[in-house]
Amino acid sequence: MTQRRPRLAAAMGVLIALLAAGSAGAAASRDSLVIGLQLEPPVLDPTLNPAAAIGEVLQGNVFEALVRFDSNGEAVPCLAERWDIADGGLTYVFHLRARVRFHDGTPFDAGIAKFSLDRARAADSLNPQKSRLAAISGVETPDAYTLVIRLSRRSGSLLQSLAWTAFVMVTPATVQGNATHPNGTGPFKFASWRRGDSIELVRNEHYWGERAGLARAVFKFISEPAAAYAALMAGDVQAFPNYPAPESVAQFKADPRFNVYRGSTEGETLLALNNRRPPLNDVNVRRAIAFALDRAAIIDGAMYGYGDPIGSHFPPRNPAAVDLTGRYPHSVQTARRLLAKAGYAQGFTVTLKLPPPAYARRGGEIIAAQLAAVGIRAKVENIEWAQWLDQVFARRDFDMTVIQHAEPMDYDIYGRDDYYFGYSNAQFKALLAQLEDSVDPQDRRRTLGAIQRKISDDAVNAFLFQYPKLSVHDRHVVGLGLDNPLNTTELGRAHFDDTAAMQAPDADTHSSPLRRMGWPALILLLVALAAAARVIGPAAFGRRLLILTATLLLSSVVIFAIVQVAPGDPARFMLGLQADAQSVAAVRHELGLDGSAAHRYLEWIGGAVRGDLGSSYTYRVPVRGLIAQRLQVSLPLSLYALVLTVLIAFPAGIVGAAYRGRAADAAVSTATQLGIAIPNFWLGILLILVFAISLRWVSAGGFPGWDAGLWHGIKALTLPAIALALPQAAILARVLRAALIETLQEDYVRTARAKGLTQGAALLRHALPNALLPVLTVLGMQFSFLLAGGIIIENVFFLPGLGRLVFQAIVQRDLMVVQSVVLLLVFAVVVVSFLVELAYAWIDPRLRRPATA
Amino acid sequence: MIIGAFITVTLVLIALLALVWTPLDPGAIDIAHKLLSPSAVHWFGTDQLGRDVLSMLMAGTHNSLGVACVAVLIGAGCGVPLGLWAAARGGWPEEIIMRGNDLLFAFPSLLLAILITAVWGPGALTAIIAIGIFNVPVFARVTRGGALGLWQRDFTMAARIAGKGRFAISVEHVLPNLSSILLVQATIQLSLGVLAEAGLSYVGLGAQPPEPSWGRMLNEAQTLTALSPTLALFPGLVIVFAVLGLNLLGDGLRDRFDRKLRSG
Repeated sequence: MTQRRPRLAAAMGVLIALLAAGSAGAAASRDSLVIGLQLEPPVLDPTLNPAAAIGEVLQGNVFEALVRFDSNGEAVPCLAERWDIADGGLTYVFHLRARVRFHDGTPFDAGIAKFSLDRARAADSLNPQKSRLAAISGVETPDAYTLVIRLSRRSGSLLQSLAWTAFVMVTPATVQGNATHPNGTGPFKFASWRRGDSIELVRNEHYWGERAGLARAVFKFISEPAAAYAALMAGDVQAFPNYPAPESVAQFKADPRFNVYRGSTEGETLLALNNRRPPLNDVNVRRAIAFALDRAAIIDGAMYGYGDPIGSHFPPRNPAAVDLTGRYPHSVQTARRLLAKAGYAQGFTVTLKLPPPAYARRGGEIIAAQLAAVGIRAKVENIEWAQWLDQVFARRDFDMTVIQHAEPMDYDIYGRDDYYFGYSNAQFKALLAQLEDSVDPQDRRRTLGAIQRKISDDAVNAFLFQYPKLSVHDRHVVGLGLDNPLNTTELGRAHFDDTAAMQAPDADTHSSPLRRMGWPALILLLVALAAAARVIGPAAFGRRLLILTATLLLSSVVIFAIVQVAPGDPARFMLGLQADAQSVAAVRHELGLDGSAAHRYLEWIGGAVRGDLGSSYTYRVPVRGLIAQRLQVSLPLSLYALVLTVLIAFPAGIVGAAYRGRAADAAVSTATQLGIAIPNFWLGILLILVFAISLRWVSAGGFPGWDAGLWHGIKALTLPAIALALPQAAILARVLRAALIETLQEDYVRTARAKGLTQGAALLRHALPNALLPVLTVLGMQFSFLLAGGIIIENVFFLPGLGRLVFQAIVQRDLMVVQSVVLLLVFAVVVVSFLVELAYAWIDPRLRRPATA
Repeated sequence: MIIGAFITVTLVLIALLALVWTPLDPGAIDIAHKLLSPSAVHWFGTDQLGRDVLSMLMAGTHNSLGVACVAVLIGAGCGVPLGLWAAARGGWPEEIIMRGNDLLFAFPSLLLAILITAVWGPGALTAIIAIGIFNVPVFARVTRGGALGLWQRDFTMAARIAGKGRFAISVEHVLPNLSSILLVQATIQLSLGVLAEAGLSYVGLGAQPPEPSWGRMLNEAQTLTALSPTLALFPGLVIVFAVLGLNLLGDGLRDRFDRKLRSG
């Protein structure tokens, strides 16, 4: 009896060695940063398209202008080293930087600068900020590095205007291609654009300034706030400069892995009022609305407290800002009195149209409730962006809306009669003209103050709060240029600090660990199989092997069939809705989607046998590489959980059986009953709550990579492994207890007891080895469950394992990845149960050579 | 078992009650009162949109139990006839059915559910199908095992000698004698179904908003644990409560039937 134990141990050992072979480390890379962005740019040419996302990716990184903004919103030198202002503000002389080259090698000089500005201000120019250059009458180039701009009238805001993304420097030869292949002078070169997924920049080694600290920067587009949270937690992105979910910022603040940057933007958030329509054309009504609103409650409710209250259309951080937040303190009585004065004592009914962002939807709900308190009935209407642009912005068909005005220095919109909120005031226009005409900083500041007061006095809109800049990034990432009015992320000085050891975040920069582990694993497997064949007899072994192969083939057919009936064409999904039939057909061909189903199945399965699982539709890299990288998390996690399961279940089961019917047994029964009923993902959340958020012993998820050290890796996997293991341990303990109780009643145990062995000794020496058979079966099944159950747990703890790979692939309809991962897991399950069966026969001589038994 | 029956009946009553009445409207958004701690008005507090957690949990009961119940019906509806047929015929139909069962067992259940939802899109219906498919081999196996034994018994022999067909014997003699095992199995599958549904909803593959669902509530609560820990507590407790109740009921039923079989 006793000799079986070493055999069992050996069997387990082979199994674990086979599975552990996969946990080789990935290459470290500390000069590659992945940045999350909510919106993807439609095109990459900022001189033709106003989308803010273009600037977020390219401004200061790929493209540069003559000047750039500092954090106060002042223009400071960039491609222009210095400048002189002459003729009382009518002539600007820029001295340009020499030895600057575009990424394609074109040298930058005054001719290029003249071309860029003339193109932007030309009569037929489509530049989105063209009107800001309206004062320019001519651009001259007296020599290669001197640029003279002549104005027809003074333009106090000219320098700041030149810092805008719309006025970056471009070359005549490559300007047509900038929409897809931007060519600039910045510290990073454009490398590639995976539509719907990411844009990659690489370091410009010939940059005129200080060489960038990062060799590679990837902007990854993640629109959902919840997905942004998950991506940061899992380490898929290391920075999210405009983090879209203020509700979870507290979580990141509590997590030592992250730094939270809290600043401000140029985005004034308003309850915009249609000044053309009664009753909102009455200043008393508008003032009543301003008094009715409780900004603190709105900021708290809509933004979880992030955001500074404003009293006018001007960012509080600007040196010229005047604090007007006390102009309309929250007062229901004053609001009601003003409404009565305007003849609306009974209130009135208006519509409140809300665009999709959370600040608008959440803020709008609260505003509607606050307006109701003074008798204004605001009917909330949730609309999409396209509808907002059409109904509110273009056709001005609205009463109220909640919206953020993100552009810097955009108080001039109050001087446009045709603007959507329709404010038209001669005094205000005079103030604007006065501002344009002055270049003296003191003068400008005074006029800016008057402008802010005028907007506030007339209560043109209800001013809510300055939109906060919330950036969450890995604490090892330093030097991110976050603090500028264009709200862009300048990466020129960004780098990882010295103690950082980052895991390679993306899939396509790795050597395949599968290949490295492949041969030793295969040899081990063959040795194990040969040994098994010898023990149980070739015939029985062959039969089992046949069943194994048949099961695998059949499951692959089932998986393939299920995936085939999936609606939607992956090629069309990849290319988007605008794609023409020809390019869809081309991609279908490239992906091999144009063959017959049988042909594709054979291709896939033939490849799988050779270890080639096809190419991911979204990442365009071999699926095998993706899987190999994720296995480094999933496999150790399953094994860790398996070990924990055994370590918990054995003592519990033995105690239950040994003290059957007594208090200890009852305790074990209750605990296991509970353990079975607890969903493992909820257990995971509870563990995070206790150990990560309350006690702060570990981080609330994520995986630092094995390169960060074995201990850090194990530490990160401990809570997930416990969450996985406890419910399984409960099941195993019950099985073990029942099996032990059964064997304790067998004759040989009674004989042993009669011979004088104590109950405990009999249990450990005789009953336990025999009870191991059913336990081994259950354990084999559990390993497959742990491997698959890990899929959910990985999502609870944001581990970059197979589970997250599968879910991301589902979202992106990357069915090649889905079908291959499922096949791999089924393969693992079938092989493990096969090995368990063999181990069974090996351990129990009664099961050997069933033909002769 | 009494506790288990009590919990189960309570849950069913709550599910029925929630169809016509909840303390507050589970869909009513009230941002000004978001993330409140439990109070007299909101017994379990409110979520990030100011919805009443107790009402949402109550409304989520019929989703959870409903998905699990229909999945068990699918499993029993397909699995029991297959198991009866396999036991009655033997030979190649039996072989095919049992190998098909093995094949299904080779898939980790969650994985197939994910594959199905990946293809047909998430929703309560796909969750039902995904969970239901897994109940088929379970019921087929239990039915076949029980039926094989019954076919050796005297009363089936007598019926055969009386000239009854295999189909008639299966329906009239075998099936009634399997009812207790099947009832026990149904209870166990029900509890597994509740767990599976919660898991699928948690990863966003179950019932879709605005339909309330326990699993999704846990998912949404997770990013807010630092602000409002109770939000993650109640849905989990309710799931444990439901699963525990069904398990206890199943165990109790099995003990009772075992005793009956032994004494009878």
